[in-house]
Amino acid sequence: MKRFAGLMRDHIFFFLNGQKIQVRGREALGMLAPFLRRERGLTGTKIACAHGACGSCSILLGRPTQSGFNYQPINSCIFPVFACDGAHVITVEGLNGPDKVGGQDDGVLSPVQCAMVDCHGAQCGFCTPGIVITLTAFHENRVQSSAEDVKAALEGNLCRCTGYSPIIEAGMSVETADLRPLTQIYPPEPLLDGLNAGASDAVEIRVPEDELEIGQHLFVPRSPEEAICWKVAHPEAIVVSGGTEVGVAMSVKGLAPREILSLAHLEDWDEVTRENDELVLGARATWTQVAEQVGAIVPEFATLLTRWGSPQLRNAGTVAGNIIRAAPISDSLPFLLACEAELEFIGELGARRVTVADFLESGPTMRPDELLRRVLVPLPKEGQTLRLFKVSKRRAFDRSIVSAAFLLTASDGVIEDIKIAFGGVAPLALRLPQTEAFLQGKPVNSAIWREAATVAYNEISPYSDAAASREHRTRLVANLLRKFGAEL
Amino acid sequence: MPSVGRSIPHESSRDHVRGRSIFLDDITPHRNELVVDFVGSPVARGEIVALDLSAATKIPGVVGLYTFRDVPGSNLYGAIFHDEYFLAEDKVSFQGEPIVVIAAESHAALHAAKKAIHLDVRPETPIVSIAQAIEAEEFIGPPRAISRGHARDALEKCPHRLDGTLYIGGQEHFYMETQCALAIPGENGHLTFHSSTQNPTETQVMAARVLGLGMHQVVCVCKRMGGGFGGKETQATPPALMAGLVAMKTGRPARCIYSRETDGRVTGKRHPFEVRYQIGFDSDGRLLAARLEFYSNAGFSADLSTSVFDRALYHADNAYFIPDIELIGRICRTNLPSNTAFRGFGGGQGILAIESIIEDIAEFLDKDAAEIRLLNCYGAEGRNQTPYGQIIQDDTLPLLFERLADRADYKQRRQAINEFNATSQIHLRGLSLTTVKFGISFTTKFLNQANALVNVYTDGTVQVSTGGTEMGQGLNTKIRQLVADEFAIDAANVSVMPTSTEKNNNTPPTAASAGTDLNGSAAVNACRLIRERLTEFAAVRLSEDVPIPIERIVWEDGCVFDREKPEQCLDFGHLVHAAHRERISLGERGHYITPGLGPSRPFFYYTTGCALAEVEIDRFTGEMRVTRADILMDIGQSINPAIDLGQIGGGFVQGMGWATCEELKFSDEGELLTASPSTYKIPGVRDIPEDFRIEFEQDSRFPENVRSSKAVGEPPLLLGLCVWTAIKNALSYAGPRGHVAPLNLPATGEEILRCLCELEDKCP
Ligand SMILES: Cc1cc2nc3c(=O)[nH]c(=O)nc-3n(C[C@H](O)[C@H](O)[C@H](O)COP(=O)(O)OP(=O)(O)OC[C@H]3O[C@@H](n4cnc5c(N)ncnc54)[C@H](O)[C@@H]3O)c2cc1C
Ligand code: FES
Ligand code: FES
Repeated sequence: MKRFAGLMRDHIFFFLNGQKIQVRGREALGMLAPFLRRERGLTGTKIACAHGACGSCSILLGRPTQSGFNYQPINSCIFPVFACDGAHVITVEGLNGPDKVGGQDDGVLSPVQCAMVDCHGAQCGFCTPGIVITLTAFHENRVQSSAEDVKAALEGNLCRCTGYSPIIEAGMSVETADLRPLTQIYPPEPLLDGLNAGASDAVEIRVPEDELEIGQHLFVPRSPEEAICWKVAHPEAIVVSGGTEVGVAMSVKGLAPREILSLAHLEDWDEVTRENDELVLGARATWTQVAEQVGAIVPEFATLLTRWGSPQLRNAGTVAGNIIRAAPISDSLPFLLACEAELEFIGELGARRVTVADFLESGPTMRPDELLRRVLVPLPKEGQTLRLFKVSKRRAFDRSIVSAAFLLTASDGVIEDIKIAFGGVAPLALRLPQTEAFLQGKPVNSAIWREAATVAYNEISPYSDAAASREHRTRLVANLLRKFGAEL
Repeated sequence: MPSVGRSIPHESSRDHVRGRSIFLDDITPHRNELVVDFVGSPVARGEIVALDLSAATKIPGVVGLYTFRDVPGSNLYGAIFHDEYFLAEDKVSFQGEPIVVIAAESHAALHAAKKAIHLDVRPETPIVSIAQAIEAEEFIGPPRAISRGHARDALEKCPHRLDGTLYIGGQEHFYMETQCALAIPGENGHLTFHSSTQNPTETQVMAARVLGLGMHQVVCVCKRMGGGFGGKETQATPPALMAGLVAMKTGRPARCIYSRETDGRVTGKRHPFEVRYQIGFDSDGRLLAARLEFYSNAGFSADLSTSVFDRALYHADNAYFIPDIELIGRICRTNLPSNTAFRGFGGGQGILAIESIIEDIAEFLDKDAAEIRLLNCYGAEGRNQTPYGQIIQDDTLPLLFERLADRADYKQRRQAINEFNATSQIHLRGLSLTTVKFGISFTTKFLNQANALVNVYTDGTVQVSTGGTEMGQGLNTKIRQLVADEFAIDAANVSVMPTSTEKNNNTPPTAASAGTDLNGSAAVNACRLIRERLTEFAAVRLSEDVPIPIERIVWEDGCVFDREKPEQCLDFGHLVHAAHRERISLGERGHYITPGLGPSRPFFYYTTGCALAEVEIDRFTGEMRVTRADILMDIGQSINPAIDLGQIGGGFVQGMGWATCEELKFSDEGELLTASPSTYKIPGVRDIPEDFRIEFEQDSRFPENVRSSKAVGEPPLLLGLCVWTAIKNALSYAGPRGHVAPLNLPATGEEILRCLCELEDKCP
């Protein structure tokens, strides 16, 4: 094995409500929410689902930036403790400063907490800490907020009691003048200083097998070279990027990987840029980063992303995880298929490119030494129409039943070319070549989409599952074609 | 200043927002505490042929494994009938049914033990649906019926008739805090439970029964629940029994917290119903005769199914007078978890049937459904008696209906929708204004009682304890207000203490919307007894020689004084301190019973309201938005308007969740496919009405009830059903006139699209 350039730590460290802590051993490999509750006694963070599906466990993850920390809410129930390395975690107990954690009750409330009390935003109170966290992040660096903005921020927090109206009202009536930014409550310098020593070390934690649990081995590389090198030596290792998929498996499905390769510190794999006629998405870019950047480049994709998961999931989930997992409901794949995007893998032998279609065709597989490095998406050209659809049971914070992407090139009322991709109608997202071929050269009129729907009907054979029946999915494929036509 | 009528914040809100409120799993673990979980049946129906615990026993950290053989008392228990096994014996009758209880030192040991238990169950074909139960004649209890007149004959003579079947799905409670309990062994064989339960007495009774203890050896405490909604009325019991069994066997504290999936899989839900109906009406839409046959899916045991079913029948008329009416039905036994109380308690299923029928009549007669509703509302004598004989008094519903129609511009919006639907290629809109008349009282008479304990301390502060439990609904806040006003002190000087069977015995569940009515009244009764004594004492204390006449003693703003000498007042603290020195008791228990209940008066009163929803459907995807909803309710004099608004808004959204996105799907094998939060969808912030207006009548009062208030917990949930009728209304624009949309509940996007396709096929 190649020797790594950097140093190695056998533990992780991060700040928790302003206090530096070190975590080693099995604890580092578990999920953050139970760690906070059981090991640190911070029971304000609630676990209502352990699936990333309710937001009760929201905490603020502060990732260091040039100027301080960027705090974002994430679901701590599916966020591995090791992924906190080098960050600042603020829980509901810590919102009013390090001296207010635990300790005597001086009754001090932050403006967000005040608004929640005054607007009667808490009933049973179980969802409330998560909501306070979300609203705190929302109000950081914000002067004004509309009901729309508040709702968008709260999409990832379920509440069974209030019906949300009082919470939205609270979100809108926060005394912004009294707000102390988190960077003032927790001045960044001492935190950054505290994180400095060992900041560039890779982390390797080995947990020996014991009488109850298997042995585990975690590696958090600092460079792509280290990552690949370790992957070659440990081809069976589970790769964790944002952890929103792997975290659920670990939190509720009993997944306990023997070997884990965390990409948490490949920070510079997160580019979202336009290079010539291509959109480049770094593997580690979170969906929040993509959504922030892509609006100016492919607005249609940005719109779709507003319906992707929840803010908390978008703050953690990454591009690579969404593609490699290749779930039928992945919201990015139909878009990538229709645009004929390419994936760039890097491995022992260097970089390799493959189209998304070929990647899916193959299984989807990659070589054991490989990691997805980035995605290159040819941008829709002048005169092309891109439309993306997502149909889900619940409007927001739900996975797709069926998703679709259409890329149409038409001139003078005639279809020159069309690319149609669907998710949720087969085990993997796919293109509909027969329907595409049928449409080519046809005039754009409402009858043609109906006919195309019939072709599509014969081209797919969807499945039934807990989200929807086969019949419904079949109808949706036909109807989304018609809807695309009707809305042209 | 009086507290009642003011919107003071929820008493726990300042702790809630800081994460300082202690929920059950937040209680600091005891030094030697054990974690408890169980292994349940892998199949919905079958026979246990092998169970081998030997490997699991050997796992380090596993402290105990218990089966029905280890149950010290009766293994059979149940809320109304004793027809449930705490731990399965030889047969299993729903998937997940507990078989082995595991006690371990750590979660790791628990998981390892679960894997090491060898269990072999021979599967049998389960009964999953109502149709299968009817076919197999698997029923709970005898047929049930309420009738008046001769519905069958009358139906024959009606000018118009519609027959049909409506399928109503169930609903998962999805309280954010799952079922959980902590049991702590004490001296003399005592056990103390901390349980997230709406019914501490039930936990006490069942624990005593199953663990073979006297009720005097069991205490059940509930500080709060992270939501209940009916789901913790009876079904908080199993985890408490498991923790209790372990605590008893090991002598160590034991805690059992269900995971979300376990909770979803093994706990009961709202009852699915099937309603077969025949309705007769005239050309104006006046209801003349109805025969409604209800079938509920009770799951494997009775639980509260008989009461739920009765309430469905009691609400099948909703707010409408139907002269000849026959309501019958059966409770079906299936191999699902035992369905249970859920906010609305059968009322919603009863109401939905008639509301759906009215939408169909409107379509059939080409009339506006709102007109038909108003036409049929209970009215003057001759049209004011329910099928079960209760006379509807002081009915404000028709008034509310007209007011809401007016305030929300029903007519203009109907016109606008007609126009919109005639032209829009992409969307369909619908509008519906519905009513709710919800009967307040437990239909089981003895439950309509409560007791409260009030302790006044010598500094003038007060602790009050009742059998009522706090699940977010604001009961404790309201009780605090009521008690504060009785002593004319500030609500801040009143603490509502954790509910405990040690202080309040033989209490009813906090349910049936009657929590404040019952427990608040009992607390007030206790206060009045103390106040009487203190008034007499003050009359002496404030006098120079002969006592002042009692009527002259005034309690106001923390002070007690002689009306004629207000300047010479005693502050409450000083008064009680002095009274104590004179050996006057500063504590009291109050008891309250709901007055006037009888066979033809199951309900003390009705809470009524109307709601109007406007929806927009995507014709292609079936996706739906509620663009606006308006609610107008009569809840008497509100004790705390903000809390009541919260109940109304929250209840409405929960109701519309049931009606739209919340879908329970079972496999043919009886496995719940939507047990996880990634597949079961409760409404999120984006699903609520985009424009949401809630009002209640300001000048309404109901003097017979505590501070002239009315109950508010359940009725707004049923108002949420107007979203469903609005969807039905929108669909009616898709088909040819006269064709009713065969919409069932929930109206998911899939269900909506199915109806649209069916209706489109009928179009020429
Ligand atoms: C409640 C919930 C809701 C969700 N909603 C949506 C939704 O609306 N739309 C949607 O599309 N998805 C949704 N998801 C799925 C998930 O969040 C996304 O797929 C996300 O992008 C995964 O990214 P991640 O970084 O968190 O993946 P991880 O969990 O870190 O990894 C997922 C998989 O990808 C592999 N992997 C990750 N990075 C690499 C790499 N660089 N090279 C090779 N392999 C790699 C991992 O080994 C793993 O197998 C949801 C998930 C949850 C829990
Ligand atoms: S507990 Fe539900 S998202 Fe974490
Ligand atoms: S207040 Fe109970 S879940 Fe939100």
